[in-house]
Amino acid sequence: MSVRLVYKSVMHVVSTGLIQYEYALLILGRRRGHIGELYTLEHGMSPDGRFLDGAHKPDSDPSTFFAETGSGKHVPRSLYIDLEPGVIDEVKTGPYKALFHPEGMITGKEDAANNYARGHYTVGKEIIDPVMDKIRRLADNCSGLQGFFVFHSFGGGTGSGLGALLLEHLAADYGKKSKLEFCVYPAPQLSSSVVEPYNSVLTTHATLEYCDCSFMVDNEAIYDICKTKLGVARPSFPNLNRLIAQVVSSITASIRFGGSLNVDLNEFQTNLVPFPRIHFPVATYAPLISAEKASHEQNSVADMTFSCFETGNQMVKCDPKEGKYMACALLYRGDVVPKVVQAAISTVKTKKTIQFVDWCKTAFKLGICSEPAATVPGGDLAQNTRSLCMLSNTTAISAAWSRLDYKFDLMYSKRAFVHWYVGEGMEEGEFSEAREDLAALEKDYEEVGADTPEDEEPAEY
Amino acid sequence: MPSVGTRLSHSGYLGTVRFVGEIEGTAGTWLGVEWDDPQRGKHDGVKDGKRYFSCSVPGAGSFIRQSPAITYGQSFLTSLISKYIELPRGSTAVEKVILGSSNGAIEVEAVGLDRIRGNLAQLERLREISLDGENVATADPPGTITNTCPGTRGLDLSKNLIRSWDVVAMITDQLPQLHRLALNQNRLQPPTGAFRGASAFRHLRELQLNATLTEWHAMQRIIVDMPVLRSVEMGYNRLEHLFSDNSCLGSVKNSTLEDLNFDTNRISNWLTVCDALRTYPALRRLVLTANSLERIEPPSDGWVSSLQHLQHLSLSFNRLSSWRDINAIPCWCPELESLSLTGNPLVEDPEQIRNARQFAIASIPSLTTLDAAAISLHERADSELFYLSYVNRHGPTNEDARQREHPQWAALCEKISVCLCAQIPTATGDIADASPSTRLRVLPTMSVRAFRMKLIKSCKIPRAQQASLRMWLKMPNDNLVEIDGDDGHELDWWGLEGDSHLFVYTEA
Amino acid sequence: MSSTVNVFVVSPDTRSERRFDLHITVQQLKNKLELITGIPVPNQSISVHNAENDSNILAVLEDENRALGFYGMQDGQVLKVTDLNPSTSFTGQLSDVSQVEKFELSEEAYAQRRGTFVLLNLLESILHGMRTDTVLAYKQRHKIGRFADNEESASTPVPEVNISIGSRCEVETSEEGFHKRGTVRFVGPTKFAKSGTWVGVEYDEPIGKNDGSVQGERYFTCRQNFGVFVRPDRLKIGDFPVEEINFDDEEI
Repeated sequence: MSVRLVYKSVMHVVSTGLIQYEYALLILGRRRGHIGELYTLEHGMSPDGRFLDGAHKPDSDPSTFFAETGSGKHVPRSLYIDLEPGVIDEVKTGPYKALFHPEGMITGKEDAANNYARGHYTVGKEIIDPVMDKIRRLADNCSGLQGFFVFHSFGGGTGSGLGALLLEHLAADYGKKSKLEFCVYPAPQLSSSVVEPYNSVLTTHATLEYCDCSFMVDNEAIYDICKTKLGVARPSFPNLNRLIAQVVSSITASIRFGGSLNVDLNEFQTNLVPFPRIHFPVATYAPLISAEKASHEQNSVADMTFSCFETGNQMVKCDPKEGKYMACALLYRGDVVPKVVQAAISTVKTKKTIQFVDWCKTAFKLGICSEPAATVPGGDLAQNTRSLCMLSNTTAISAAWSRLDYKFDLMYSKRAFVHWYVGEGMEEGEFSEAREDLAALEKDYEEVGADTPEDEEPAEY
Repeated sequence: MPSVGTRLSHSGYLGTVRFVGEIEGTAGTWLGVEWDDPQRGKHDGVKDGKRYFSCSVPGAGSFIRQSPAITYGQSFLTSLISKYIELPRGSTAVEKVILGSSNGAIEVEAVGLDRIRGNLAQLERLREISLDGENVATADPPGTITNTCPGTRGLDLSKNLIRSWDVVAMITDQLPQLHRLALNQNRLQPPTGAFRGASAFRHLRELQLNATLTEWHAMQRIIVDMPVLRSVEMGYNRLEHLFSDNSCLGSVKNSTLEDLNFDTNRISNWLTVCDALRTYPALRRLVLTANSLERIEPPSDGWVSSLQHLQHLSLSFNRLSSWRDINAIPCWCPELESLSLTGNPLVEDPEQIRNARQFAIASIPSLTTLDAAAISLHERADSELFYLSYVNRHGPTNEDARQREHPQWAALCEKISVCLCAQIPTATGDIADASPSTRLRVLPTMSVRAFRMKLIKSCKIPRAQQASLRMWLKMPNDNLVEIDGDDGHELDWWGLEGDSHLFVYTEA
Repeated sequence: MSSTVNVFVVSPDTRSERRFDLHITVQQLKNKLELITGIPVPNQSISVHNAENDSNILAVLEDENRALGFYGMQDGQVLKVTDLNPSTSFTGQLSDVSQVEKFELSEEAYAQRRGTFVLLNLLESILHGMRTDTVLAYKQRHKIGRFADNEESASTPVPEVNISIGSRCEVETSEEGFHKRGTVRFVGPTKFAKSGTWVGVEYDEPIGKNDGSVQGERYFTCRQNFGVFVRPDRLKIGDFPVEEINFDDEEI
């Protein structure tokens, strides 16, 4: 039996304040302070945002995601937004509460009731202006804002509706800044709500042209990792969120610490996204070892590299070997030596050949950041001196879109629940417009693979 | 020819020389090797009925010839330099590696590696060094390691050709900042007189000895020389018992060790574990995942638990099958905060699984995390209530038997039960006529029917009056609500809580 | 003690972890559940269980005016929502996709899609248009892939092969401690593959696939099963001596 969880919809904005690298991070979801928690650990700060004695690391640059206040305290440039009061209260009372300024939280009065139209039109419209005001204030405090990180789910009302609305507004007001998403994608088997296919299709359509890069995570995959690899018998939100925070931390590590792939996220996304519309990389993380296991094997550079090309460590359920890679970034962290990495990469052995689309050959990149990843003490993941996060843009993920689209068609053919959306002021035409766009997206994935010779040649004759 | 005890590597397999010499019926000199991987071996050192050497793991031995394919390893610094120092490729050159499994079709572009090479080549700035599987066999002359990489805080020397603890100490003695040391998958001979342990490990906090076949008493002897050691991993060591070797240790208490990991061993006796851990009163975290524990016996009278301050205990994937085992845990570990029980028959049993979590929470009052999921106050209260009503319904009725089987029973009753004031009017009972009240202690989960019985018993209501017994609950606004009708409901359902007043009426 | 409860909501079409305020009434809960499960309020029957695969019913939420707290809901419990009258709802009809034909965009419709141009200044408009182009339109606009101007530049450049006949070599293998060594006998294009360079190797031992000919075409000559053809990246050139089955490898 597999179980899925849905992230409740909160939005979290962290913007960052280094001259060169400044990002705003917007979280929609019950992700609470886990990201801030890891960031503070990695930058050697205490839960109230001050540097621990002697812990200030020379290479680290907390200003990427933290602002320094007059008292020497670091506050994430963040904004939590939720349409429903309650969830945010947990951040306010959690151990890292001091990290989050009350100014950085906005709650609405009524929830979006799993309805994209409510999050996007009726309820969302009421909250978007104060939200944009706060974002503007955060942005004004950055001397060189580079972009935004938006965290949201696809299935719920706030995540899909308000998330899309926010991205639209960000695009209008900050057209040239990069906008990156971290999104919780519907799980393959069971929906968390009956209208999940509608919400997902509508939000994907609405954000497709505004978002530069969307890192995908699906609850089922995360849940399975917690259960089978980390030995958590009954994973719930905190377990799932800690794991996701680990991945987010790895993605942003090279911006925060400066590694060999010392890129700003603009360059990052240029590498990963060959076509503007095909911007949904899959994240994979290694090693995934339970904190209770005695360190044994599994964490050599070769093992980590290999396991990232297998499906078990992936944050989305799909089989990359069924598709073709367009681009891929391998982000190594910690005690990792270049020649060992190069040797590991050249000897990756999988059961099936790894394929790519021919015309973007150099889109496979690897980088090393020597600062090791921190883990939350008492968490499920074992502390390790090295780790690997792989981001791959592969055509295999189109199977996920196809599945979702098909469910949408079934529901829409019966006009099931459409009145909930129309009742919130949405035009029925938006449904077919969105669905057509998604059909085009599927075709896009086909077109991406179209140039590659079909038959795979034998390795030897 | 190598001497007996020398470590060697042959086509990727590591082993230890156990015998050097001739074998009857063959020509030339043979090396008798015990392989680290028993699968690589062929026998136990016996050839044609004659024993030449013996192996600690059955079937791990074979005889090979001296050949160029055998490596006996190199010095620490040689390995360090060959791994960490790489010549820069020049910043303009784009480095590319062909991805394996891609039929040579995918080139991975390595970005900015020269910067990393530059950083790593400054060996004196290295803080983490991992030389696992790098054929390290010997230390370098005193002072040379200190001069090369004095800042090392973490060192991984797993899977190497180091022969003994003496050699390890000769290396670490030169690393004054060393906090973490991993020696997994080595085969180390115990220290001898030359062991300069006292200074070699003076700052060591974490030690990993997984898959080294280190025995418990050997480990104890080694860590005596590690004054600030906090954590030891002893996983995959085929340990069956933790026999303390008191003769050599005396009763030296180690007051710094907080974390012990015995993942994947064969430990089956809980009492010997507790006994062995007596010398570690500061222990906070104990991992016994994937062992063979079948029972957790309660401490016998007068036994002072060695796990007094334990906060985290993992018993996942053992063979515990009875709730008595869980009941014994709080007696051993009164401060336990976090417990893992996954993979035991106890919680895998389809009949039990339904209530397993609630039971475990209720049985261990100090617990805040179970199987990595936090226990909220709400969940704790619910679980305790559930447990009480379950025991009430299914447990033994005899108080003594119940107390024995469910040690938490009395404490939980005390904590949760509701104190009622039942006012029993005399005869025709006028409520205003304040007759004396009786305090009753009952569970909120008690059914009204059971409560009636208890009332009759404790107030000694004569049989003749029992049929006419009626009860009213006094509400906060002084209204009286009659508790009647469906006796199947629980008191809680009626809204009874601590210090509720109940009026009872019987006809004379 | 908190006034909310975290439970799993399970219905024929959905499963999710949800949080509810214990003060809301069953009526209010049902309104929320309709939006999650799609089961109309009048059709809902809600039972409380300890675990999902546990058929034992702890309570049935019947009284619409009672608050949730009344039923003693606990964290981690499961609310099973069933549909009493599926004939008047969509329950169970939303999982079998084979009932409908999936909507696919026709090739023509896809080919006609272009990025949307919005009313901004010209440059912005062009940039924006490019951003929203379909992959096909993008490829055409940027002349890449099969729309590349020059057929040559689009195809994979043939990697330069610098292997001379007669070199000693070792062919990549996944078996540890085992080496596939031999001598290079052929380098160049072949008839059995459409393109690219192949290297013909004569192994030292009979661990190959042929005698130097493939599909009737001979490229070099050796004993049967000593010959093999591989892509250049799968072999290493170097001074690899013939591995003798020698005295040294003896093992008892």
